[in-house]
Parts: sequence; C-alpha cells; structure tokens
Amino acid sequence: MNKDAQMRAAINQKLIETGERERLKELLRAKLIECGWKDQLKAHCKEVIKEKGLEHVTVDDLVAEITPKGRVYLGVGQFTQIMNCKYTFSGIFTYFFVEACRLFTKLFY
Amino acid sequence: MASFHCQQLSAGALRPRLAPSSSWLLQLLKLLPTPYSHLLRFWGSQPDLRVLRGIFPFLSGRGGAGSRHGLVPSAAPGRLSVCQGRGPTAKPSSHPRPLEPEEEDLASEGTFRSSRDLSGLDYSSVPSPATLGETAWTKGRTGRGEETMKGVRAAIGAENWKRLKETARSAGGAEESVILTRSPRDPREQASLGNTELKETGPGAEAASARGLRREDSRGASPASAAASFSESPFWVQLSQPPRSLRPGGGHPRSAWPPRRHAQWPLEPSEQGEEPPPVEAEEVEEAETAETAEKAEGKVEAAGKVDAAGNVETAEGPGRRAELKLEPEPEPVPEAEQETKREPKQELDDENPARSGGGGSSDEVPPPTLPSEPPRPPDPSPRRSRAPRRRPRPRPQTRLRTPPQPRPRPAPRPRPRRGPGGGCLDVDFAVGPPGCSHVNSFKVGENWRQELRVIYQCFVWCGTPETRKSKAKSCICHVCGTHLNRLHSCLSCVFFGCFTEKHIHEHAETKQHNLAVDLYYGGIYCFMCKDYVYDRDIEQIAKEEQGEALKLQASTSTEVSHQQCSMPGLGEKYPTWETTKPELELLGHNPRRRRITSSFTIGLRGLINLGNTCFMNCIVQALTHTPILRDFFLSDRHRCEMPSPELCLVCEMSSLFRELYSGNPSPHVPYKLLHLVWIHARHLAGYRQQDAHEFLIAALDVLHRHCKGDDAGKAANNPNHCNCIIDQIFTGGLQSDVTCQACHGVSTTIDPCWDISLDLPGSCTSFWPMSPGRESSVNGESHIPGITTLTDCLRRFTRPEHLGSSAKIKCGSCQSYQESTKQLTMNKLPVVACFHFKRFEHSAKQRRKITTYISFPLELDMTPFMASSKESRMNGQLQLPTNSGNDENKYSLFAVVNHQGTLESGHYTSFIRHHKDQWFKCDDAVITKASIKDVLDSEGYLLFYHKQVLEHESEKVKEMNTQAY
Repeated sequence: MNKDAQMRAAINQKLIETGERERLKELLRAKLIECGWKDQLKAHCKEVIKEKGLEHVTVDDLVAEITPKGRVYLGVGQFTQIMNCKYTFSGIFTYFFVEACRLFTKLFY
Repeated sequence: MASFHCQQLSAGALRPRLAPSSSWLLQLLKLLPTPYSHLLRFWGSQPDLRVLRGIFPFLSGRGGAGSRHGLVPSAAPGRLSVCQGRGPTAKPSSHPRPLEPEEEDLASEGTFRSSRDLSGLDYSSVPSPATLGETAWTKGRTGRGEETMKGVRAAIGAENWKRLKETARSAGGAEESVILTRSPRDPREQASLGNTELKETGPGAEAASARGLRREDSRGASPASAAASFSESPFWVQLSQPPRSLRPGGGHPRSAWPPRRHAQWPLEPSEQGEEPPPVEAEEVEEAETAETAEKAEGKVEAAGKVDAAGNVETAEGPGRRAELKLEPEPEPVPEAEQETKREPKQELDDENPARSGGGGSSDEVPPPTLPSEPPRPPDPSPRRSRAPRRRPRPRPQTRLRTPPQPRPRPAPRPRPRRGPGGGCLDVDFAVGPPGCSHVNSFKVGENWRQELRVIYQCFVWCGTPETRKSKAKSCICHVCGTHLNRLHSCLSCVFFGCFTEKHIHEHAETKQHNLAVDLYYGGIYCFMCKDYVYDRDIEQIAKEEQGEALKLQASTSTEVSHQQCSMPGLGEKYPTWETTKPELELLGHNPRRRRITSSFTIGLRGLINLGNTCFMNCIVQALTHTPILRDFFLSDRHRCEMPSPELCLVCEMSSLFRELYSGNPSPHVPYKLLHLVWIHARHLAGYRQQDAHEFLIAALDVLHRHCKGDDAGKAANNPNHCNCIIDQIFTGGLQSDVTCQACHGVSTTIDPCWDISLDLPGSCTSFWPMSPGRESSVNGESHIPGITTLTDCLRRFTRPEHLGSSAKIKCGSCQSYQESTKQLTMNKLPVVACFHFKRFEHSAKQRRKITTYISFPLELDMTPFMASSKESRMNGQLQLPTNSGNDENKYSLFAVVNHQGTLESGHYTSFIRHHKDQWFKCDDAVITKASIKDVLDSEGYLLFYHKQVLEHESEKVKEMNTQAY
C-alpha cells in the first residue's frame, strides 16, 4: 500500500473513531435536502424508473444513471452554498477546519 | 508492526518522512466529503507543516504500512486488534496475525473469528460492548449449542446480557408474545400480524404535509419546488415505508413484484399507467375520489372485523387498509385450502415457534399460484414453492417453549443454493409485501434480529466510542485492505469486502453467502436478486439502531459536537415522514390529488372587502404568497401556545392559509381575521381607512407575540432572540454606526427591524440629490437619468448622515459632546425584506402623497448595503464584484402593494407572484393576471423581496463559529 492510501486510511479511521464521519454525512445529507438536490434527483429517478419499467431497474443501474446527473444538478450556486456551511468539528478537527475557514474567508471575501 | 500513534513520534524524526506534498492534501481532499475538500485549496502547495502536524498528529506517524489487509494493528496488548479465536474455547494467542484467505473456510464452517479483544476471552472480565457484540454475533451464527450462549453470557456479564436481550425483545417481543399465546391458524390473523409489524414504525412522523405539502426549507421560494411537493399525492407519501426502494416490498426482482406494487400504491392511479388528466386541479378526479373513499370505507369495516376477531390492534389507518383492500383480488383462497396447505408448515411452527413470530410479514405460507402472477424468473422451481422447507431443522426439541432465551440457529446459509435465484417463491400476499426469499431465509433464525442489531451497532451505526473505534479499525476490505469502495459486510460470516471492486461479490459467489450489509448506509444487498432488498423488519431494526446511535453519539461525543447534536439537526432534521393514525385518517378523508401545473390556480383567491379593509386584504395577499411563510403554515407547523386559541392570530393565519389554498374559487370573507385585528390592534379598529404599512407592522407584531404564546415575560427575557417564524422570516438587523467627528470613534448598535422605510426624492424632509449615475448599474438597472431606483433609495438610506450641530452626542471614547455622523447598514438580512416607500408625508408644512415613480428590480442584491461590505469599503479593500457567483444576498420580488388615490381616500391593491414568474393583481375579491411590466411600472408602496438563498444553520452554530474565530 502506498503512502497516500495509508494516509487516507488513517484519516478515515480517525474520522470514524471520533464520529465525525457520521456527522459530516448527516450534515451533507441535510444540506442536499435543503438545497433541493435530493428532490431533483428523486424526480429524475422516478423518470428513469418509469421509462425503464420498475422490474428492469436495480439500484446499481440507477446509481450509474443518476451519478452524472447528480453532479450537474448540484450547480455552482448550490455548491457554494453547501460549502458555505457552518460546521464545528470536535477535537482536533476543529482547529483544522477553523483554520481552513479563516483562510477561505481571507482568500475570497 | 507500525502504528500511527502520536506518542511515538518525535518531531525531528518525522520531518523527512512527512514529505507534505500537496499529494496528501489531495488525499485528504478526496477523503473528506465534497463540500469540505475545497478548503484544502487554501493551503495550496505550501501547507504549513507545523499546523498540519498539530492537527493531525496521527498522520505524521512513521509511515507504517498497515498489514497487507490494511488493518492497523496496535502494538499495545489488550487493544482491539485483528486476531482469530477458534471456537469459544480459543486460547488467547499473543500474536495477532492478519487473516489469511484460507481461514475463511473455517469461518463458514462453524468456527468463528472476529477482530476482538484477546483479553476479553478471559471470561471473568467484562469486555467492551464491541467485543461482546461481536462475540454474541459470531456465536449466534455458529450453530453451537446452548453452552455457547452460556459462554457468551458469562463473557459479557449479566447486565450487558440483559441489555442485549431487551433490545432484541423490543423488536421481536411484541409479535412473539402474540404468537405464543395463540397459534395463528387464520390467515387473516396473520395479515393483522403483518399489520402489527407495520405499527412498529414509530410515530416519529412530522405532522407536516397532512395535505400533501411539505415544508421546503431553502429555496422554498421557488414555486417550482412547491410544485414538486404538490404533485406528490398524499397517497404516495402515505406509505408507512416510503418508496425509498424501487421495490418497496423488497423481493425478487422479476417475480412477485407487480402485484406487490399494486398493493403498495393502489390509490395512485397515475402510477398504474393511466396518467391523470394533465391539469385542472379544480376538477381533480372527483369520481375516483368517491370510489376510493368508498373502497377505503369498506375496507375499514373489514379490517375492523379482523380486529375484533383477532384482538390484534392494528395501527393502520383507513389508507393502509384501503391499500390492502385494493390488492388485485388477493385470490381469496378457501380457508380450508389454506389450512391444508399450512399443515406441514404448522409442524414446523411447532418445532420452531419463533419462526412465524420472527417475521409476521415474511411468513412463508406458499401462496396459491396467482393467475395474475407475472412471468417468473427462469428458475424459481415450482416444486419448491409448493412445499417449502420441508427439511426439518436440526433443532433440539427440548428448547421449544423457552422463547426469550436467545438460541443459536443453524448457520443461515450453508444450504447449497439451487441455481441462480434459487430461492423458492414463498409469498403470501395476504400477509403484506413479502421480502426477498433470501432475506426470508435469513430471517428464519430466532436470533436474526439480535444478530442484525449487533452488526448494526458495531459496524454500521456506532454510537459508543468503543464501537466506533472497533469499526474504524476493522472495517476494511479483507481482500484489498481499502475502505473506500462501498464496503459491505457478509451477513453470514465475518467478511468485509469492497462492493465496487466486487470483492464482496466474489466472496458471495464462493461461499454462497448471498446477503451482505452496506457498512455505511445499512442497506441489505442480495447477491441472488442482484439488488438491494427492503424488508420491513430489517428496515425497522435499522431505523431503530440508527436513531439509537445518533442519540448515543450525541450524548457521548465531545462538547462541541454535543451542542451541535442536541440541536434539532443531524439526523432528526429531515426524518422521513411516517404517517400516524390521525394523519392516515385525514388522508383517508381527503383523497383528492392535486397536481401543480403552470395554470394551477390554487392559492389565488380573492378577499372580500369588509368595508375599507383593502389595507388588510392587500397585506394578507402579500403574506399568504410569501413562499417560506406559506410553506410554514401549509405544513402545519404552528403549535398554538396561546391560553385561548380562538384569539390567536397565528391560528387564524393558519386557517386563512388553508382557506386561500383550498382551491375554492369563490372569494374568502376574512371577517374573523378582521375581528382579531380589531381586538389585538385597537388603533386599527373601525371602518376607517388605514395605512397598509401600519397594518403590516401591527400584524407582524401581533403574530410575533402570539407565536410565543403571548408570554410577555418570555419575550422580555430575550427580546432580540426569538425563534418564532415571524422573527425568523422578517427580522433583519439594522446596524447604526455613530462616528464621532472629533476622535472618529464608532459606537455601534444593532436594532432588529421588520421593514426598511425609504425616503423618496421630492420629500421635503432632507436633501435628496443622490448624484445618480455615479455608479453604474448595481442591480442590473440601467440608469435612466431622472428616474430614481430602489437602489438609489437604499444607497441614500445607508449613507453617512451628518447629525448636525444641534444634535451633539456624547462620544464614548473621547467623553465629550461632539458632532457626529450616523450611518445605517444592514447587519443581518431578513429572509423577506420589506421595503416601504414613505409616500405619505406628514410634515409640519404639509400632508401629501408623493407619487414619484421609483423603479424597482425583480432581483435585488443587497450586498452593497451590508455592514460587512461597508467595512471592506472603508478598509480600502476591493469590493466584491456582484457577479462573483455569490447569491447569498440576492433577493427576488414577490409582492408589491400599491396605493391608488390620495392621502384622504384611496384604494390598495397588490401584485403577487404566483408561480415563479406569473403575476396576478389582487384587488379585493377580483384577481386578474398581470404582466411583469404592469408590476414594474406600478407606483409601489410596499415591496416584498424574498431571499433567494437561505442560510441553513441556526443562530447557535453561527455564534459558536464567530466565537471560535
């Protein structure tokens, strides 16, 4: 395993251990619902299913079909909105995130 | 073995190793969920090493290679590490070693292994929940006898055991007790048992959308999204398990699906092929309505009988019953036939009482072959479906009547499969949507609930730090050692594999373990059906576990996250709507479907003028077409806290919204509203003409008070911090900076405001010339000389204003009375910005109406008038170009109130935006279509703008963040 993968694994491990991963996931989910992305995708899924017929669609098919759309739906505005999130990490991640936010604000605002 | 623990590092030794290229930042970037990844950009290619090391001590480890499997073993003894124990009597081995592929055979043949605490094998100590969970889980599936269970019990300690049992009972207990007291011979009883299962879906439902409407939080502004919510029929939403799956009942893809689907959405005609008439919401299928209502009622009766007979309480409302009723003639098999069919089954039941209890809905009574059955998949052998599972289970008879005692079951899947899709098609439609047959065969074991719970607790939704730790260490693909590729865990043995890399598929193929659980979302995948399957029981368990984990996490995590979790957010913010009984009844009574189209007129309803009440009508029209307010009220969010609800203006608003959006075309008579206004705002009482703006402020004030239950004390405690809907929507923060001319000290106050009153050119109160054309189009307005724009007015509103020599103010910093300038800016923008043109001038000199035309835009950017942008201007920084993709401060117009006539007598009308871009003129009872030009050319008295992008985090977090900075 190369170093990058290790790093990734380690970070992932830490995120899981601290529970951050779940929280991030929840936050992201909430945001995607809020900005309407979920509903858009849902509508699209319904179309796909109607088109293909319910019996001929599996989750995997749907994922494959939807994924590119999902990126499109999440337009620039929504994306920036999501990025503008206010999120507080616990523990070590707090520092990291606050630093990042500060830099972000300096850079763009 | 290397480890990533920071105590082993010394900074010197690390420096060469860390090599912090942007590549690992990239990794971090990939790892973090998308929205955060961009943040890494700020470090660019030159990250600050010290900072990074401070942040991620664990990152800067000696670059140890985890094992080949990516496991991260720790050198410290007693930590969780990967090892294996053979059977319950395994001796603690001191050298953990990584799993070897060949051991998997052992695992599936009765021995078990897990990543568990070696010291935990000392049965006198109580191991961590993770360990106990896994132990129980693994042992539960090994098929060893009771001694195994005893061992487990000893291992995990009495208390933990109790807890485990309780959790298991909370799921399965109810039905089991029912089953044990009566043997459910009657298939109808079984049906009602299925219903009891449904009942378990907790009452966590939002009272929302009882009328098929959902609250749309952000961007609720766009009627298009409202359209989406409208177009969802109540009966689409009403399913106790929303159609999260394609195949709500789960099950075999090409087998029993269509009938089941029918059973799920019977009341949704459009879903069954015949598209409902495109529009004319008014004439929503009345006939169908009557018909379905009838059927529903009929079924209610039928279900009621079952209830009486079986003494089983079903929590199902009429809607669900109606669904059952509308099944495609569930082939009312003569009961005798059912009985005979059930004979062999009955024996099995005797043998294993929990089996039928274990899955009320997954019962495996072979159905009579349905004539309407769709083409079956190639294989499912009819022979098997006739006589399912005759094979007696190797189960000791002695344990028959001790149901609460968790009992191992034969390994769920060592049975060889018969070809692809080899499961028999054991489907009983009367019982409800059957699951995938493979899942059903998983569910035969008595312990399956408990086992599943343990898996969920330990590997999917980890509430406690211990389980999280174990998950972090153990959830790694056993083949490639990574964690990114949608890890799934085998349900039959301890195996984690990548889904996208097909490792889990390989495992399933070779071991014939065809159920796996998604480790991040908890979905169950069936490799035979080649799809995720949805099973009511399992979903229920998953939901419970998830909720439990969220709760646990909120209580056990650190302070910060605790604060965040204890807020409504995270997990509970957007729960799926599950219908409660009253909601189902409501839905049953209102079976009409509404679809939104461009010619959809619901929401447009005139208001009768009750005698010079046009000032009220126009404001009411504007308020009822405020998107976010509409979403609030139509989703029934108001909970009245007033001592006398009949006097609550918010309740009245709520019913007003209901009236206006009822689709009734005849004008509404808002007498009740008027009465309440007279009661609560006495200065507006009487039939005199009033000022619409005054009414707006009074109405908002009363609404605001009533939202809080008119508790003056509560309001007084924290006047600036109110979470009522009115405050959330209308309150902005007006910052006034008073600058001392002598010392340039600034004293700042922030006042809440509900509207912004703007002076007009031509008023004699103050100098007006605003040097138009100075800055070219700010809000996309082409600057026609001579025409004042809204932006001009706002610019004037926010300009520094010399207070004059007559109004000297004591400066806080230089402690002397000095001349000063005052400047107003927006500190916080409201969601709905209400601009009021001061057209009525009551000065000492004269009283008149200023009719100057002010042009106002459809879209308004408030960024220039923010306190923050003023500061940046003052600091000489470059001002953001307004087209930087920053929609944060953008507003769009949605209502305009106009005054026609003179100061003494006049008439109010309003323009309101109906769909995203349709405008209507409301003139009391008359509503006519208007063009955008009509709107923009109107004089304008009150302008209502709605924010385009809503912030979504609550005040709390913002405050926390500002403190953190």
